[in-house]
Amino acid sequence: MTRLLYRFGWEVLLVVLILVAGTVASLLSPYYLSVGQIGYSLQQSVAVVGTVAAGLVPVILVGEIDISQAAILALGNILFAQCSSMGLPLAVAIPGTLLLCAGLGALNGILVTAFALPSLAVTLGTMEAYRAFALLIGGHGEYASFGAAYLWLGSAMIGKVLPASLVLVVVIFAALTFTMHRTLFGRLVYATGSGVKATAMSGVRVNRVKIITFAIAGVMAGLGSLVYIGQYESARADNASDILLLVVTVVVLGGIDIFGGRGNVPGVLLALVLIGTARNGMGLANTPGPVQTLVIGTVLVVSVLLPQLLRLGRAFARQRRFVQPLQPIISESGRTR
Amino acid sequence: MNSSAEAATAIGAPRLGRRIALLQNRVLGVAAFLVLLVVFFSLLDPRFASLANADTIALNGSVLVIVACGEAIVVLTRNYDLSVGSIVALASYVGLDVVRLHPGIGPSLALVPVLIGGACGMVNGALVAYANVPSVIATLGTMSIFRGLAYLYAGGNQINVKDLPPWVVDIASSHLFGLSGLVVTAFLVVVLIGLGLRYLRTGRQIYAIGSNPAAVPFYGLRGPGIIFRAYVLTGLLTGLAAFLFGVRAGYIVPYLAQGLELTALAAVVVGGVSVLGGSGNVVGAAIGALALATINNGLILLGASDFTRQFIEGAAIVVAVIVDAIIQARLRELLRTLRRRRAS
Repeated sequence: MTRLLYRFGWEVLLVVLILVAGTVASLLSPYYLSVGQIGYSLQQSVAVVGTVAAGLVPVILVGEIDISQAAILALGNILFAQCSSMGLPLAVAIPGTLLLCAGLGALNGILVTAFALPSLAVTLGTMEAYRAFALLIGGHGEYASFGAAYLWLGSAMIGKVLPASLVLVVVIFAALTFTMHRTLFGRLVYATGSGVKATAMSGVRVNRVKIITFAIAGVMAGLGSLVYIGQYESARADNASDILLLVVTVVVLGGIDIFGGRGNVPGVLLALVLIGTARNGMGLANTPGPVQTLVIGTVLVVSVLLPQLLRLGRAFARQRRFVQPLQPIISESGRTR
Repeated sequence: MNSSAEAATAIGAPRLGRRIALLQNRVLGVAAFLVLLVVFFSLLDPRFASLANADTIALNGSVLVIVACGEAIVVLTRNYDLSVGSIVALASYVGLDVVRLHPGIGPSLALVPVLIGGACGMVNGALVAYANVPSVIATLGTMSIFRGLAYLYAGGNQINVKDLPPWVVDIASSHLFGLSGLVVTAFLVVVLIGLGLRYLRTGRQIYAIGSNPAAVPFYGLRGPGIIFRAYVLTGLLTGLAAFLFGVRAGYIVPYLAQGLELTALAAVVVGGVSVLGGSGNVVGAAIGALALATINNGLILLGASDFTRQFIEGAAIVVAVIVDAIIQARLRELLRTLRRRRAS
């Protein structure tokens, strides 16, 4: 029992927090507690974020970061819009756009690994470049007329209450959980994230593992754009420019170690539900947008701070028992991000 | 910094020494890039090469120069600060609101936004240095926190500069030796911070922790303290930039300076400060900021679209980061050759 609690303590904490947030929300507003309301608002607040965040999980597990996902999503939006206005069937549009988004993600990975560069700096540059391409193709206008098939994924309701995009998010997370926790590739991702050098020395092509994780991030951003279009019926080059904070918060709050190599994928889904419930509650309580952002930012800082403080506390307790030798203060790899 | 080059000269390998010195001095390359840009735009558009336009570029670039200087300090310690845009919004709104409410006190109140910036820097520094939160995550969080606080404080209002006491406008329009007060301030900041980083103890420690964080404790230095001080310094400089930004903008709203952190990081990276920390200097970052301001100005004169500007900025970051990686690799190789020769 204690071992289970030790292993899944973070997830249990998230479930408790979800219940607390739900209770508070239902006390705040009489409209909260209905299946239709919860489903609809969860879709509005987390369907896009969840799809994109699922792509970021492997990247962070491998010890890198990708901040260009929102730009890839915007470019995907523009591409889907072009396909729709040309009247292409979805069977052509989806593979084409997803392939291109995967390529953009892989390009990030190639730049990061080929020159051993910090991923933040690289994806900062590619973020602007990708968004510039979206502007080049899409201009400043807005596409708002889509074929019905293009809108299905982001707007359809299964049995009038369950949004199709939420089902998609759950399916994505199930697949991701299986990939990360039950396949060879997943184990290689964790190994690379825990120690690049040791993994490379044991014969794993770590660069290839990293490039694949970046490509996954790209594909998920592309899939996110299909959800986005259905939800907002709009495609502009500046779409989703404020999504980064939410995506990173969900992943980190989900218990994925920001230094890589540790964390359970299902926790991210729980964090997604928690953030969605919190946003829903704040929306019902008429909290203005910037204040909601403030709350999310605080959640992000606290969710990283808490495990760090626990770790420091444990180290301190150990130090009192033994006399410790000189301790390097920065993480052993020497790379802070 | 040039000691290895001098050592090379001492053991009779002057050519090797010269190459090492050239690679270590990246400001030259960045300055050459700026000159090329100026020549390029002057050839394309005669309006570009006028004194009035140079004044415009310098004026527009001066705030970015100060912010980039601050960002460079943090990047030198192998960290990032994504919250500078939000610090500018918070410090300029709250700071200038204090100025507006107390018109009698005078120019000493210009310190208020600077101190607010310093306080924001302390929060960032405490999170990164003492609580061990990775700098990207910590400052991504505080980015939204500081901006949210600015919104909460403003409550939907805005401050017009014409409601502020006259000394504020005087500062914005002041001139010294024919140069705008803003440009002079930015110049002084670059010189002082550049000299401080080079000759003061804290400055050397900032380079030390960026070059090799693991070695810092073995020299008896406290790593967290250094990083904390770097963030506070960045906050103070950003606060100063916030004051100038607000005064120049004409009206102050809480959504001021959105995305400034990305432009500042771009300036730092283009200016030859290594994203791996420990190498580069604020003069480079300042020239990088001026280069971005020049590109912006030139493209507007040419009537180029937004996407060109954004694409060039993004591509400049990627290219600068790659060039930096290649230079680092080349330097390592040359230093290895040097060590081998000295041994034999």
